[in-house]
Amino acid sequence: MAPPRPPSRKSYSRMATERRIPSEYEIVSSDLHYNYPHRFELAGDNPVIAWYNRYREGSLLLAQNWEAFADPRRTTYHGYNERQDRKEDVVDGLLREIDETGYDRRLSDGWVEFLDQWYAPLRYPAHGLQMLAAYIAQMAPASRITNCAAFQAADETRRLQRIAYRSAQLADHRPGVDLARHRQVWEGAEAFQPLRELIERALVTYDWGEALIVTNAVIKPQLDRLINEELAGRLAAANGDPILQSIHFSLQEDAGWHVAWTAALVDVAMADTPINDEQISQWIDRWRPLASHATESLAAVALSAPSLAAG
Amino acid sequence: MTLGRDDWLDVARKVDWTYRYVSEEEVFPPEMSGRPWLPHDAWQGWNEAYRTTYREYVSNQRAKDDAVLGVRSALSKVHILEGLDPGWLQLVKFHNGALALAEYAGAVAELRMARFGRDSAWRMMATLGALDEIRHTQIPLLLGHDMLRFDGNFDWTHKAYHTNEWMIIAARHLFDDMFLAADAIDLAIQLNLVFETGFSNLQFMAMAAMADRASHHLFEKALASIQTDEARHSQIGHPVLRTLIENGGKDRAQFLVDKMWWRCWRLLIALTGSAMEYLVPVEARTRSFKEFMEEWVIEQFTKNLAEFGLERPWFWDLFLEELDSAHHSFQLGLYAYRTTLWFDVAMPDAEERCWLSEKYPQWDEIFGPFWKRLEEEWATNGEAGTLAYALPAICNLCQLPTLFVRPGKNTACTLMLGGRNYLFCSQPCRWIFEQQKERFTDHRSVVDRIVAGQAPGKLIDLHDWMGLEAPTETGKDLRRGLSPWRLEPVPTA
Ligand SMILES: [Fe+2]
Ligand SMILES: [Fe+2]
Ligand SMILES: [Zn+2]
Repeated sequence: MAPPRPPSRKSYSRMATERRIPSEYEIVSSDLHYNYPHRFELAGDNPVIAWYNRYREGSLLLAQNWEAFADPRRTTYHGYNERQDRKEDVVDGLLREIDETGYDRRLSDGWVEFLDQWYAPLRYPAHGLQMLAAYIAQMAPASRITNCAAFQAADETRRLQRIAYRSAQLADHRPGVDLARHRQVWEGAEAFQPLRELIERALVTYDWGEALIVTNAVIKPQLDRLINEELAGRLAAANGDPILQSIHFSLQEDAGWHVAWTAALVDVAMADTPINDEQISQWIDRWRPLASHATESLAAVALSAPSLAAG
Repeated sequence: MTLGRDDWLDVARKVDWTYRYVSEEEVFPPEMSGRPWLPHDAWQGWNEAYRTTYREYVSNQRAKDDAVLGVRSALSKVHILEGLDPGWLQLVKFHNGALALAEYAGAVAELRMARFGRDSAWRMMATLGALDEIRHTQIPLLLGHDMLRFDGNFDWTHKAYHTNEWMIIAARHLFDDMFLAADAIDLAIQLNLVFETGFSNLQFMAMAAMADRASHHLFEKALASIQTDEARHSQIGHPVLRTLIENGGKDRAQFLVDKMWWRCWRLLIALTGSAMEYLVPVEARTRSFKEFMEEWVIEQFTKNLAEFGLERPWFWDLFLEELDSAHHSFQLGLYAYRTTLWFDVAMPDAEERCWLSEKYPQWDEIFGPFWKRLEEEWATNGEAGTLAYALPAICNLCQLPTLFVRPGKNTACTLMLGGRNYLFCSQPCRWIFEQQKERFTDHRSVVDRIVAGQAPGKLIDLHDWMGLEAPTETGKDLRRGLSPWRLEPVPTA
C-alpha cells in the first residue's frame, strides 16, 4: 500500500516568476549560489571566504537583486554544447579543406611569416582571457552570471585551441613556422607588450565588478574585433587566406554573445542601483587608455603584412 | 593529412608565460592558489592522464546529454513514477536535495582552479570540469522539476541548500571545507583526488545499478552519465598531488588525504549507506553498502595511496570496524529525528531484516532490539512514541549526531579549547578539528545555536527555522505505520 503523497507543485518555490511556469533556462540556471551573500558555512576569517567577502560582497558594483539578470541567449548546458558542436563542425570542415586542397602551399611567404610572428602567439593572450572569464564566473553573485562567464571561459578555450591547431597545421605544411618560438615573441616583441601589460594588470584586478567591466566591456570588445575581424579577418582575406577569416568569423560569433550578455548585465546593474553608472564610467575611463594603447599597438602590425586590408 | 590530437594539443595546453608587469605571486596569490607556493617551474610538468580537446568535449557532451534528455519526457510520465517503489522515491528526493546545488558549488571550485591553478593545462582541464559540474546541477534540477507534479516535496532539489536543515548544514560545512572555501591545491586533492576518484563511483555508479533494478531508468541513465564526467575531471587531482609530494609537501598531502577520507566516509554513511540499505527495495539491492565500500572504494583508494607512497590513514582500523555498524546506527537516528528531514525514513520490514542479517551477521543482535522497541512503542503509544524529542549531541566537525554507537562502544569524545567545550563523534573528527583549529573553532553546530538562542528550541519553531513546512514537508515513517508486516514476527538470525 503506497502512502499518500505530498501535494504537487507547478514549480520550484524559490523561482520568482509570479504565476508563470519558469522556462527550462530559468529552472536550471537560477538562484544556485547558496553561499551568497555572506552565507558560507565556515567562518569568515578563512582566507577564501575573506576573499569573497572582500571582492564579491564588497565589490564596488552593487545590486540588490542580481537574480534579475537573464542571459539574452538563454544558454543552458545542453544548448551550449549543441550550438558549439555545430560551429565546431564548420571549423573542422574548414581545417580539412586546408589539408585537402594544398591550401597552405599557396600562401605567400610573407603571409606565413606574418602568421608565425603575430598570429600564432595570440594563444597566450587568449589564455589570459580564459583566466579572466573564469575569475568573473567564480566570483559572480548570481548563478546566471556565473554560467555566462563559465561558458565564455570555455569559448576562450575554443579560440585558443583553434589558434593552436591552425598554427601547428601551418608548421606542418610550411618551414619557418616555429611553435617553440611563440612564447618568446609574446614576451619580447614590442607590439605585444602593451597587450601583455593590459592582460597582466587585468588578471590582478580582483574586485569582481571591476574585473567584469575591464574584461568584458573594455578589453574584449576592442581586442576581439581586432583579432577576429581585422588581423585574422579582413587582413587574412586580403592576403589570400580566406579560410582563416571564416574560422574567426565563427569565433567572433562567440564574442558577439559575450558583448550581448555583458550589456544585459550592465543594464540590470544600472536599473537596480543607478550609482553604478558612475562607477562603471570610472573604471572604463581608467582602463580605456591602456586598452586602446594595446589594441593600437597590435593593430599596427598589419602594416608588416604583404597586402594591407582594403577599407 | 589532419593532425591528431597529440600533434597539436600541447601547443594549446602549455601557454604559461613569465609575468613582467605584475608578479607571479600577485597573479596566483597563495590564499587562492594554495600552499606551498612554488614558482611555475615546479608546476610545468603538470600533465593529465587522459586528454580532451574542446572540440571533442562539446561533441561528446552533446551526445551524452541527448542520450539522457532524449528519453526524459517518455520516462517521466506519471504512470512510470507511480510504478516506482515509495522508498526508492524518497532516496531520489534525498539524493537530489543533498547533491544538486553541491554540484554547482563544485562548478565554482573548478572555476577557481581554472583561474588559480598553477599550470595552464590544469586550468584548461578545470574549465571543462566547471562545465561538467554545471551539467550535474542542471540535470537533477530538470528531472526534479518534472517530479514536482507528482510529489511537491521535490522542491527540495532546488531549495535544500538555501535552508538551515541540519543535514544540509552538515553538507555545507563539508563542502566548504572540501572545496568551496579551499584554495586550488587543497581542493584538487580533497575534491578531485579523494572525493571524486575515491567515492563518487559509489554514489553514482552503485546507485545507477540499483536504479536500473528499481526500474527508474531515467535516474539510472543520468547517474551513469554524470559519473563518466567525474571520471574525466577527477584526474586533475593526481598531478597536483604528485607536484606537491615532489616539492616537500608529503606530510601535507598525507594530512589532506587522511582528513578528507574520513570526512567523505562520514558523508557516505549519512547519504549513501543509510539510503542504500533502508530505502532501496530489497530486490534492487545488488550488493551491500559494505561490499560496495570494499570492492569499489577501498581497493581503488589503497592502490592510489601506494602509487604515491602514502600511508593508509591512522584511523584505518576504526574505519574498517565502522563498516559493519556506523550507517545502521545512523539510520536509527534518522528514523527518530525524521521530522527534521525533507524525505521519509523507513523502519526495515521483515524481508529487509533478513537481508540485513545475511549481509551483516551481527545486525540482528545489535540493531534488531532497537527496531523492536520502536515497534512496540508504535503499538502502545502510537507514532509519537517513536520520535526523539531531546536534542541530540552534534559533532563539531562533521555536524552529524554522535550516533555511531554500539552497545559497549561509544566513540564520542570532547576537546576543551578557549573556554569552549567541543564535542566530537569520533577521534578522527576531533583530530581533524585540532589540526585546523583556525578553520573550525568559530563554527556553531545546530545544537550550539539552539543553546545560544540563535535558533529556536521548540520543535515546531525549529522546523520553520530549518525551512521545513510542517506537516507537508517534514519527514515521516515511510509506510505511515500502514504496513501489515508490523504484525509479523521478527525473524531471528
Ligand atoms: Fe559532479
Ligand atoms: Fe566532479
Ligand atoms: Zn564527527
